[in-house]
Amino acid sequence: MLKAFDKKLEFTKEKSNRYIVKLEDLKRVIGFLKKKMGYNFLVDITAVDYSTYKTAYPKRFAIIYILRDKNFDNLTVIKSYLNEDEIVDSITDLYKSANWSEREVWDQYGLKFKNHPNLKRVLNHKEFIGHPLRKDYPITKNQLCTKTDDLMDEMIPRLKAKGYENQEEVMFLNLGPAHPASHGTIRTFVALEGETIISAVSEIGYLHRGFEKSCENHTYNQIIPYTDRLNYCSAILNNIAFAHTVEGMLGVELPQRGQFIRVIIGELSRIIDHLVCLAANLVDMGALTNYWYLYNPRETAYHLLSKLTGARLTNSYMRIGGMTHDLYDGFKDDLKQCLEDVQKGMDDSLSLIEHNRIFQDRAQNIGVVSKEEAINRGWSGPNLRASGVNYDVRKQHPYYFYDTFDFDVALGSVGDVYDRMMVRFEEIRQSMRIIEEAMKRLPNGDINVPDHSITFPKKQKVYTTIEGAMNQFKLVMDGVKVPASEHYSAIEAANGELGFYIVSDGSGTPYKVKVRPPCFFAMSSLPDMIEGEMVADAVLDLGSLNIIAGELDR
Amino acid sequence: MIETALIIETVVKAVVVLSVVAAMGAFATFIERKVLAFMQRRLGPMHVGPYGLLQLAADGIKLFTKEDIIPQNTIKPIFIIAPVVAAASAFVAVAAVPYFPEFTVFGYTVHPIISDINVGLLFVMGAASVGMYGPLLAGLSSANKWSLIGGARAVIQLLSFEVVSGLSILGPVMMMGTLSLIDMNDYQIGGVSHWLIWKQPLAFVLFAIAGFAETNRTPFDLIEFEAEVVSGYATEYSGMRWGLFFIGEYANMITISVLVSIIFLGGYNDLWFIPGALAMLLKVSLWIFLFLWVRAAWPHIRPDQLMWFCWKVLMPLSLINVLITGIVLV
Amino acid sequence: MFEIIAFYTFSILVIGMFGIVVFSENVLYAMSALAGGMILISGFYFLLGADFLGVVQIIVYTGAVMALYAFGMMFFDSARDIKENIKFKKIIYTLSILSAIFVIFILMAPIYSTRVEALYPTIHGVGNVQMIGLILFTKYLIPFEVAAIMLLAAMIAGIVLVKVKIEETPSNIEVARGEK
Repeated sequence: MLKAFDKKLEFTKEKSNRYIVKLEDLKRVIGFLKKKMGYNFLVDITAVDYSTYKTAYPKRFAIIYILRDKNFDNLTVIKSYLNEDEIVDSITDLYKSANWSEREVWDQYGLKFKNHPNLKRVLNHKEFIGHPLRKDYPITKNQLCTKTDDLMDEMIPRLKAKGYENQEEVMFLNLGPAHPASHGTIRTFVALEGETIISAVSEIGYLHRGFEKSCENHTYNQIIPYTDRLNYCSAILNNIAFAHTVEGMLGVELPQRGQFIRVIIGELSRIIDHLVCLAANLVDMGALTNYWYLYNPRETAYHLLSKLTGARLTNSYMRIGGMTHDLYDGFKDDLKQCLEDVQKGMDDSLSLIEHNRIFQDRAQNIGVVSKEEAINRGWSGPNLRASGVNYDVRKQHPYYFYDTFDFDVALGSVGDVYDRMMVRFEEIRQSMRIIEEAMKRLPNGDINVPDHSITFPKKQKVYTTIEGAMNQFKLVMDGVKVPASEHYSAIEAANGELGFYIVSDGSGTPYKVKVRPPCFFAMSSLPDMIEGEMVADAVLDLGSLNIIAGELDR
Repeated sequence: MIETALIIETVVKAVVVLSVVAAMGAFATFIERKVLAFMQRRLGPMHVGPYGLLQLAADGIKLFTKEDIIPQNTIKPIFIIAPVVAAASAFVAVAAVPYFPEFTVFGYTVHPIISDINVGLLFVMGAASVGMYGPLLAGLSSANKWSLIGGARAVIQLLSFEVVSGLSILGPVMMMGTLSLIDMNDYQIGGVSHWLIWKQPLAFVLFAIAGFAETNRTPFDLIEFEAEVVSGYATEYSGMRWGLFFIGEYANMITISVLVSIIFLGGYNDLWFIPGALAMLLKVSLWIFLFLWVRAAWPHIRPDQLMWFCWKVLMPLSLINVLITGIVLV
Repeated sequence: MFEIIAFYTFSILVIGMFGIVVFSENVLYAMSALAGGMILISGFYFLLGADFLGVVQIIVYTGAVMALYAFGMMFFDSARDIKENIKFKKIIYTLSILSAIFVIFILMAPIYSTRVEALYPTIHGVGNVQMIGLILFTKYLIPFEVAAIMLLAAMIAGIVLVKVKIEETPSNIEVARGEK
């Protein structure tokens, strides 16, 4: 593919979709891919520190760009090796989503970008010294933050661009980190004139807990509980995304029953996530009653999940190569009840707002994001579909028999708050269709991969035979041995494309894990979205994007 | 002697009305929680006393015994006065409101109104509008930006909806030729068909909407809406100072309900077989229930939509209403 | 007796309030005192039996002072004291004292000559509102109408001034949206 670009270009093809190019060609190649090949969706940017890797690499770091083309059919990974002192060309002028991603790479790995508008830390705090994802940074080292960032370094240029030379003309206000509508600890610093937002700057990282660093020090199965805490509203979908990626690296596929259970529980999690988002968004609008109408069915769903997994919120139900246990007796009836409750809650809530003029006036044409803009921003999931882009990982890259299920993709037409909410309502309906179909087709059989180098043997064997006990011991102590490779794979989580880029060195702990959180890209566009709108609209925008701080800050 | 007797009677009435309205205001909070809970498929307060009835007392104790915090950088005297203004003006407004028909106790005729001034309606509305100083002063003195925004919202809301409520009430006043609430009540003697709501339906709707706005009820509860301005003007308040704001707000709610009942819904005249006093209670309760119902059912609007609605919809409508009333009367 | 007590109470309060208005350096104190003073003045009207005027005093000045607050909010930081910058102190003090004496002199003159007489004595049985209506629509009809026209002109001027600004704002927002 790259041959068509420049005959003199030196590159190596690592895998079918992974190319290694020289650092100085990087920007040219990406520019070519975007303009000529239609790769206009930047999935993620990350880096790897190979300093302690078992085999030697030409240089210490590699920077990795993951791209999708305009129909979202092909995924291409561009990789380039570099040393600490080398500077990368920023691609923020090609992809707006690169802005925060490059900041994150600088923050975590200390790689510098040329021509980046504002290269500063994004997840770690202002007083942080060092770059935590470098291998020489000790995981136990704590650094306290004693000062808040006044964010004026970003605010003043933005104000000047809007024609406000004098800061006395505006009123500065912090929407968050402890604001009732910030849904977690997210800070948006705004300059107001009256109640109209002139310019805004977002600061995240208040909930940063070093997920990716922790992953490098735990075995694969130990990471599963950490993934629960990413998007805690739909914990199981994170489990599935991670397990799915690792299984892809292992080259195994779950038995059919296991896959169907993942579909059922995953879709249930998606329903819960959407319910939470909608309820919170409507409460931000002052429509209190919807909160209970939508939260009560969520309660039924949590009862079901706690019966199934033993936990309500952070379930840790999945394992590499399967799940902890099979469905319990009577699951079917509970699920049926749960779906009925969801249907009722959703109908009641819709009957309150669907034809309500106040609701329509509040939600329509607020926070409009066009198709091109949404793609350029790296949006995915319901937010992207609300802007009218037909991209659903379940349809474009089917996994777990999603191509055999009968469901529709909900699309919006305008891309405003109203569309984002209505798309979520419709997705709840579609998820229910999928669950019903999956329950009908649910086959019998194993749920786990029969390979005991991946999954635990039966408890019976562990307690009675020496082989079983050894098997269990090795799996617990060493973890699942994943062959040395690099792999990116994504599923459609409640918020959009949730992907993991995992580098394995063949041991039981991953060498590097990078999660692609859909929220991160939605959040990075919030400041631009709310400029020119009122404070009351900004609150709705934030709510309708469904920003989950656990996933955003990792 | 007569003067002294009058003073004593007035003081007694004032104390009674004050305590009853304050107690009803507090009780309204309980009713609100119960009604909202009922509409939202939950139970509401249940643990303190039977059906949570003593929740009120518990809340009162909590509010009174809470630490009284006055944050740094506030303008202290104003910060302290603000809740008093809010509550006091709400109670002052009550002074010119007749609640029940006259009745006789031990041969002494009691007029259930503290002061029967012949511009009662104007007085009530004027005093209630002074109540907006509470949020405004609180917002300005709190040294908090959210409070300031809340205070600013209070100003725009008052200045705009004063106009609408004043103009909408002008039609009925022109028809009845009086500003005294007692005269207005007497104008509608003679059953449901004589109620003013049939003659002035537009004025009724406009006044009701303005009433929602002036008492800061959903869909116009902008000045203290949590998701937008944290707690608005009340962000820095705690304990009884905060409580005073809310007693004032609920007292205002009751006053508006009484006003609507008297001006448009036949007041305390006997309704079929229901005695006047009971009919009045029913009407006021119904109206308060409506306040709660709307809160449960609707989202709320944005400040600029509020302004648009007030000046471009309600104001012209109320002017047209005045005009039509004038033409019909001439 | 009660009337006298009430009169003196109100007098002291009103004078105290206006004292604060003049002497306070804090905008918020000054304006709150102004609002309080204006509302307390209505007490005198009630004492004199002019209910209507009393209520109108409350309604009009509540709104008027509230508008002042709005201006105050726009131009000053309410928490900060404002120092006046007076250049010619002596002249100002002399002039204000002289004018105060002059005003007192004018007001006291009729009382001193005991010729105070109501031009329109209250008629028993006719309410305040009707009385005011009668006078306004008979003797003072032309000044009343002229005042109405002036207010109308002021209102139209206000709308025109604001409208220019309103027309500017949405286009600004559109431009800003187009850019992003």
